[in-house]
Amino acid sequence: MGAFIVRRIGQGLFVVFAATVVVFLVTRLFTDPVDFILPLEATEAERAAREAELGFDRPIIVQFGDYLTDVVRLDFGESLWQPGRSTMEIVAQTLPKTLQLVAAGMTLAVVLAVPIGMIAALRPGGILDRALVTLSLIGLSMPQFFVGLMLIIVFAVQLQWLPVGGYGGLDHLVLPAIALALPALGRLTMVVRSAMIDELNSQYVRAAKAKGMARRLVVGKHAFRNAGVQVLTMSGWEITRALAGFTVVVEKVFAWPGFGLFALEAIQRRDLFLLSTIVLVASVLVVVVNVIVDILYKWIDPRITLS
Amino acid sequence: MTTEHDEVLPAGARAAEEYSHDIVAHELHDLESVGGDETAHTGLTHRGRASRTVRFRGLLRELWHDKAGLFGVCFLLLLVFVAVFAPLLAPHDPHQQSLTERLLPPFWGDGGSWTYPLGTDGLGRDVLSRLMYGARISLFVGVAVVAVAGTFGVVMGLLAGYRGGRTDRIVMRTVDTQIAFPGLLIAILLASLIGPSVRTVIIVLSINGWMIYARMARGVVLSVKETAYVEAAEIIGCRPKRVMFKHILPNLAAPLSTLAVLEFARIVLAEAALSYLGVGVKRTDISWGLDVANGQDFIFNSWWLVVMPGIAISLTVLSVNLVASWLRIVSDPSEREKRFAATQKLAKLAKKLQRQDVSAARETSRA
Repeated sequence: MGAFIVRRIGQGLFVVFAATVVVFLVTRLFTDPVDFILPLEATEAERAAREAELGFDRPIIVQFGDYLTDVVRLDFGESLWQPGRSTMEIVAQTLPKTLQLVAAGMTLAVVLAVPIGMIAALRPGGILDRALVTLSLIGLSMPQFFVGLMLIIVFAVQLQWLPVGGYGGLDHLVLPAIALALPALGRLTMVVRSAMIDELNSQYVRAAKAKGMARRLVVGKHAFRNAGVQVLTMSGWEITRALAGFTVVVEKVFAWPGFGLFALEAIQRRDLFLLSTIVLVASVLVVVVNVIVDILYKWIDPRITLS
Repeated sequence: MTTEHDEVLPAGARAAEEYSHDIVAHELHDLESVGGDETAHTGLTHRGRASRTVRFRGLLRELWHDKAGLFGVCFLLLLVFVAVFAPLLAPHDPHQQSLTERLLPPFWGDGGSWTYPLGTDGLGRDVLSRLMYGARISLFVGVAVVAVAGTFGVVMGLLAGYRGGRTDRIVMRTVDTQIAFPGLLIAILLASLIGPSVRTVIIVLSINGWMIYARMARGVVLSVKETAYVEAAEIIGCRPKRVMFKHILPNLAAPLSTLAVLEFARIVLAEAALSYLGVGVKRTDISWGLDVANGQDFIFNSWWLVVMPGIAISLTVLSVNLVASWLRIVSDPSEREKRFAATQKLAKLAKKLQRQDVSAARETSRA
């Protein structure tokens, strides 16, 4: 197990390194950063001066080396949009809000998807199953921003039960969390249902039923424990999906001041350094979630041997 | 799929693996039933062509039974029709502004009229006409990305699976690493750097989505590489390129079609998201996602500006998903079981279907 964890973390570090390289190359090769920093009417001399000041006139390898040493020292550079503040400081301020949103949304999705998927799996092809499958399909087919705006129209504008957006207490969290959860809920329900049907049709469940075990126990204990592995994998996948960009959409809809909203702001203010830092932090988060899920996976299902 | 590379997959990669595995699984089943009969893959013989028409008729019959799938197919056909003939069908010029007729509600609303059936936006442009033209970008981007990412991914997967060794390790390591990236965020970063346009969206989403095709293609290659007909082709001296494209590639048809349909749905959503965020298509293009973003400013009084394009996206994606689930049920017996298990009424239906199958088979033998 220990060897596995070490190896898995090593792999994770490689992914983070690769993401660093990609972000660096993309921001340096696709554009001239100075174009972003200076106004269009800047003279050649001004451009050259600024270029030298920021070190963009050196060979790209040297720049990359510098960038890497800075990143290793956790120095991610200064924000162009808010001069004087380091980009990491801005991310540190906005990250907890994003994590709060993702935690709320994903908890909601998993907690609801498990019972709904199980109920649907009990009678495949029945009316209830068909209704739940149809609803899940509709849920996973709606764009996240549309779900969010519909929630705003109904609950904030028409009924005026909840605020339209912004950051605040629990009442501010409800709608964005639902908007983030709904498509994930649809996908997870389908996964739970499919995994449960497989398990319920398996030999050991039939054996348990034949020996007269209570249905509740067969479903809850035998079948669900085994279906749980797949559910865990897909839940982890959903969390990484959310972190990998889908909170950006929800945060924009609800003006939720997480790092996604700041990433969009950074694009508008042409703050390349802030944007790069946000993408890097997001890739670290995705890797961390993946590693945790993998370790849990081995822990839950020890049949998967290490080679 | 048992090379050393698969021992420890990252969670995200594994999820994608399962996603593609489902699709690969029924292909294996197909292979068994075919028993290595190559004509079934190429359809070159007379017999092959005859059985294909029967299969096509069988598909249509299945479609008639699956009302949800039927709805999906019909809606998509309608959408393609509207997108192609938008200039003839649209009641107004989608760019035409009219400041005196701003924010008119749909025809059933207070002050709405049949001149603008679904109302007008903040600049007095006809919402219905914009929906019709918007279908063009959604469908075009979807088809283009599936084509570009699919072609690249399949070629990489074929190479990795067929060549093995170092090629395999490099390609699959890239796939694993890229799957573990925060995909949409990197897409946003890239799109904002290249600058908004339809081409940007296609490039960015293709870079974002080729991995799953490579994974699937490699899986299929590994499962058919050892079969007799591939070995026979190698023995008679076919070049690797010919073996890959003439003998192995046809095996990909079934799983690839299901995967492509699912990916199409994902890409329509991704294009809408990018355009909504303002890094997708140009401000002057007509895209559903962009229209939702513009309508958001008027959400307090003019809900239809958000709801109409939102419904257009949702219905499109829903239709594609319904078609995908129909395709899966048609081609995968275990999926079929999941849908039709247990209830007696459905058992009867299954019997009826079986009888129809028998009569269809009789028809075939007569033909």
